[in-house]
Order: sequence, then structure tokens, then C-alpha cells
Amino acid sequence: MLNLVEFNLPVLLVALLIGVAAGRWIFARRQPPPERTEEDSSQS
Amino acid sequence: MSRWTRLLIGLAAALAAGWIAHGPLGRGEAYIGQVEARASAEVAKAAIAGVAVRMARDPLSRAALLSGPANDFQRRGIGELPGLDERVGAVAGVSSVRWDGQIGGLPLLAETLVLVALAYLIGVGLGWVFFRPKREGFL
Repeated sequence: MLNLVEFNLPVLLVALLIGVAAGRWIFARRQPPPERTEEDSSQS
Repeated sequence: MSRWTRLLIGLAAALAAGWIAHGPLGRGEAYIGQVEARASAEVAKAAIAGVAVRMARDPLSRAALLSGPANDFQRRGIGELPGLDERVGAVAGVSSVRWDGQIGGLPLLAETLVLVALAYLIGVGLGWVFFRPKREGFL
């Protein structure tokens, strides 16, 4: 089994990086919508 | 988009990468070729006329298929003298040894995709460690 892991190391590394990117995408902080300022309120 | 959807999209991308490496890029065939060469060398060392070994290829698998005229002693060995089963089974990369007509063995693609999925999940864990929202402030 270890031999299979060694042989597939490049593709496993790619999968790991995809996982890190997905983790960043999944757990990224959601930006709150910008608060309306008084200037915005007066324009509307 | 929910977190689960994102997780599954990432998993699909990782599995697709694993399949491309295994199939179209020929990594699976190359791996089995290497293991087969090692197993053949081991069988040649045993010097039993007419016995040959090949790896299962339909589908690709790490199961070694032995064929040829060998008696029970030559196949299984006795005491401390290993037979062909044990010698070929000890070759790095061989998961199981079978004789003529026996089929089975987990497909190499399935093993590869399980490893890819594990690597992906480790990556997601690292992503959680490095990119999760941090608590702001002490209180």
C-alpha cells in the first residue's frame, strides 16, 4: 500500500491542494453587506 | 451555496484529477507494469519451468495471477521454505496472489480514488486550520 502511495504522490499532492483551496472556499468568512451611510440614505 | 455543496464540488474535482492521472495519463498502467516486472523477476528466481505471472488488467488491479504447472509444494512452500504464493505476495505492490482461473481483487482505480479522497479531506482540514474565521478580540 505504501508503494501505491509513493507512486501516486504527485496526484495526492494535487488532491491535497484542491482540498486546501476547497477548505478556504468552505470556511472563508462571509463578508457582511456594506452598511448604509447617511450619505447613501440622503441620496435615496 | 451551502458548505456541503462546496465540499462535494471540491471532492469531485479531486476525484477527477485522480481519474485523469490513473487513466488518460497512464499512471495506473505504468504502476501495474512496474509491479509485474518485479513479480516476474521473483518468479524467475524460483526457476520453475512453465510458471508465469501477470497482473490483473481487466480491470487493473494489484492482484498477481500465476499460471503454469506447479505442485502444491511449489505453490505454498513448506516450513521455512516459501512457495511461489509467499514469494510473489511479498513483492512490493502486490496485494494478493491467485492461480489460473481465479478472479477478484479490488480495482486499482478504486484504491487510487480512496487515497485521493483521503488526501482531499486532509487538505480540507488544513484549509479549516488556516482559513477558518478567527474570533476577534479577547472578550
